[in-house]
Amino acid sequence: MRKIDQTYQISKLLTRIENGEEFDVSELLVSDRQPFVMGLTGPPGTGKSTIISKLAKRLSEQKKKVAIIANDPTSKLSKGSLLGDRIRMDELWNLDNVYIRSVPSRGRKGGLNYFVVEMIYAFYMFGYSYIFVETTGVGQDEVEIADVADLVINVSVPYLGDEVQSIKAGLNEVTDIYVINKIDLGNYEIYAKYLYLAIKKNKWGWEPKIVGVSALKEKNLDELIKLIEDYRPFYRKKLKETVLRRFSFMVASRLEYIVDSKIEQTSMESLMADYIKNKSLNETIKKLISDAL
Amino acid sequence: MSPTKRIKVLIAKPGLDGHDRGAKVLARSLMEAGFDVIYTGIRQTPEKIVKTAIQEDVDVIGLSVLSGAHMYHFKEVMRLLKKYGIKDKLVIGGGIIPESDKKKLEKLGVAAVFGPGTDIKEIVDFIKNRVRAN
Amino acid sequence: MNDFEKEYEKWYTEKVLKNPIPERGDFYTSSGIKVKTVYIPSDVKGSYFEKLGLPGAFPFTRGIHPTMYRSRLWTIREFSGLGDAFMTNRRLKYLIEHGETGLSIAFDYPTLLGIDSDDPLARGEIGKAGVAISTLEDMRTMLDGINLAEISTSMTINGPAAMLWGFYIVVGEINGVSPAVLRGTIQNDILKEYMAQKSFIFPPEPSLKLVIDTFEFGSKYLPQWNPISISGYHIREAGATAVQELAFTLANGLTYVEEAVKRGLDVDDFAPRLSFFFDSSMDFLEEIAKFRAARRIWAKEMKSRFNPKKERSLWLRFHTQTSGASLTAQQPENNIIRTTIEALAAVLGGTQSLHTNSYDEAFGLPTEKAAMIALRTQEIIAYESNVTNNVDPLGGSYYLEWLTDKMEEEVYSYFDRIDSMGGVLEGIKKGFFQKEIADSAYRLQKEIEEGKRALIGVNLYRIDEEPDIKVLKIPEYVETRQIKRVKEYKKNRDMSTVESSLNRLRQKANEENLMPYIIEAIKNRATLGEIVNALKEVWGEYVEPIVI
Repeated sequence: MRKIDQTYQISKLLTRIENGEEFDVSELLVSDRQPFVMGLTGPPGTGKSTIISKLAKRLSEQKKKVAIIANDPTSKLSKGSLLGDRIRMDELWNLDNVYIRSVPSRGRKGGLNYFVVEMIYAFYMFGYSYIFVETTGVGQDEVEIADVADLVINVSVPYLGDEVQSIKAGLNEVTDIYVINKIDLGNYEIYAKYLYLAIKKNKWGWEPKIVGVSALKEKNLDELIKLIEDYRPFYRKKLKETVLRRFSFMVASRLEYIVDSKIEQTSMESLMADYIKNKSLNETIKKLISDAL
Repeated sequence: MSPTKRIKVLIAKPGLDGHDRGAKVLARSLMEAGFDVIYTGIRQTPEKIVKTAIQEDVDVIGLSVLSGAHMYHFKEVMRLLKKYGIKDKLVIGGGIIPESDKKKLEKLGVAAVFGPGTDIKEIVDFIKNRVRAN
Repeated sequence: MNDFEKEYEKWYTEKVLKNPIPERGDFYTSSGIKVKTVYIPSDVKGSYFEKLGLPGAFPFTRGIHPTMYRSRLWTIREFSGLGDAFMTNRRLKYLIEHGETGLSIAFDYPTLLGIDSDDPLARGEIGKAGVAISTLEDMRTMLDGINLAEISTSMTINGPAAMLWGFYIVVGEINGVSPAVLRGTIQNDILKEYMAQKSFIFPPEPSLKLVIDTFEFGSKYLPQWNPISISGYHIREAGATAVQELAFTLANGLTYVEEAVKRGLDVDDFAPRLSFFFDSSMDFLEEIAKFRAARRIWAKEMKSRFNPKKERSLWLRFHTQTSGASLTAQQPENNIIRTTIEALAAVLGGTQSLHTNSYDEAFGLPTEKAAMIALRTQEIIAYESNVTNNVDPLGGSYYLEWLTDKMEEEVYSYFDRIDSMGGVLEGIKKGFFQKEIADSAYRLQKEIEEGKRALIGVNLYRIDEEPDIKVLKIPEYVETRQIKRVKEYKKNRDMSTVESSLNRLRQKANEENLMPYIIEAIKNRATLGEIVNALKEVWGEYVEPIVI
């Protein structure tokens, strides 16, 4: 089979998954072998895509198969999305062992598409064992990335205002590595100190690390790679829990998908009429959901 | 928020010219029309455009060329799609493209060529109709 | 409230509001400036001499020369450049035979990006949008039989401007013409490439360094050459409003001057040779106001920031091209009228030279007939309309003066925003200008589609017709011939001298003025692509932030 034909196959599978078709991952979930999923989160413009690009390139040079799932925000009004992350990963386009797929967040508040976990396993089924998941960076609940990834990397830059600097609620509970990017553009040490105060050791004994890099100029990337390597033993320790979390993400987001789709197709007027008649919102919802299933 | 399938479009500028005004306006307008849009930026090679289109499984490839080199780049894109056996992409084009070339491009399998002054709505409707028909 | 204002209020309530036929709505300029029913003396603030003065006197609002077109008409400069060096040479000679004294050369995309014709990336693009020049031999062929001591040559080249200039200088030397007598312009305005036209090669900082190298070199050895044409044209064509065009262009201009002064150049050694290049589009009076505001802001800023001794250093000299983006593919003959209005605005705005577009440019390269009409448009304005009879004939119009002030005010508000983000380079890297331009382009498109902005033949009085337009095509053999020529050129030379001169270029890239090293490499038969690639190795290539 030509390489391009396999790409085409994966591509079509991902589309089916994205459109809500069921994809059986039961065997993959119980297997001892799991993909290594790195989740990158942080505000737009901090350089998540560039960092992924550089890391993916190195992994690809080591003959690893790498997949990147880049989530982009969906417009609330038009429901369309501009998927712009892959432009910043230009150096990867012709690498046979790297696959980039842009997916819209469809407005999910965690900044991840409903079916990110299924996509991860689809890639893994095709031999992609290193997987990057990039969040939109604009969600209100970005801790969700921790349900999907083995390793959470939080990206920030030294020069943004305080507002952006303060880590989003709860993110410090799940971050494993803090990357301060674009260190050539500003003094990052003060900021690093501030971050240091927010660090919490996780229950597996991993103490989150802080590293300053300039992804574009490939400065300090080796240090980041070393931190990721150091982290690997801890990832194995929590693998069972991670798989459970992925499963819970699958359950929750599939449910959301079913509800969202149903609501989209349902006329609110008739739903309200139903509620006014039987006076129980639970009853109305029960009907709606059983109908959807 | 809508979970249902959206039409996915790749807007690309093959070749060396940097006139991205039309491509950007189109990308934004298609997003506003509810499509999922990937805009690749300038200076794309046909090979890169086709590989991106395959990885992303887009429904539509929109090419914009204003350097006069449209025949070469469009031909290359069509040739590569054929070489890789890809039949499910609607290819459309835009830019400064003379009438006589439009006909040649349509023969190559380019679904439509939109010149300067085209209403974006016309492009949106065209895409919707053709993608649905597929 | 003074008497004028009182009278106006009264008139407005009694006459305008009670007019049996109400106004059709609110009115705006193309930049979105709201326009009143009528303007009166109280709308124009400030003293006459401070704001307008006489032509040829500070702040030059009314013109940089005291007599303007009464002494000398603007230069008619229509550009050419097509196919390979042979084809362009024939075209240039034809133009000279027909009385042109100023040549204007456009290059193809590979040349604009410093890519040799034999590079696979050049495929399909060679000679398409202009002439392909990769080697000294190409430049020699293009200029064969043309006396460089007598002609003035404008080259529309930016990223590799220093290299093409180098080719030109070396050809002059071979033909026995000393650099001191060479006259012409290289566009060399790299900042607007990042903002709008996108033919950049290196990152902004080293690019800017290279531009200043040309300033320095020019001031020493080519005193009659304009080392830059600071261009708003491409910013505007990319979708910017007239206000944005003006603000971004002037900000770029001031950035170049600042950099050059930082280098230690005396402002009077290079500022008199700075030239500008603006767009003229369809909002007739707004365009005229723009040109006038441009002169005034530039003179004021140059004076207050750099305090030059020569008056010439305060002049904003500019070339104008009518707007390509305003042309329509529908009923293309209408474009002749559009171009006429735009050309007239440029003349009433006091331009030093003018390029009028051909009506068929929405289809491809202009045909000879269309190019002739474009030329005649200028001649009719120059010789039949009598608008050249006196200087700044519209000066003193209450509306025009108010609008000139208003444009100035809006430009300064952009200056503040640019300053607050750390200057032009920072703005470029953050995508600020790109975003501003993309937003305007999008807004404009929406306004046209919603019918808020009239475009005859497109959203108003549209007729369905197949335009009967013939277009000029570059024959296929040009590409093959050019590739072969470049390959042959590369065979016949001593690679060790090429390599050693490229090495010197790499070593000196961040240290010295590169012009002498570029010229040396050219003399050692290095090609455009090789010189550019050597510098790419040191400086890297620029990847732009994508802003939609």
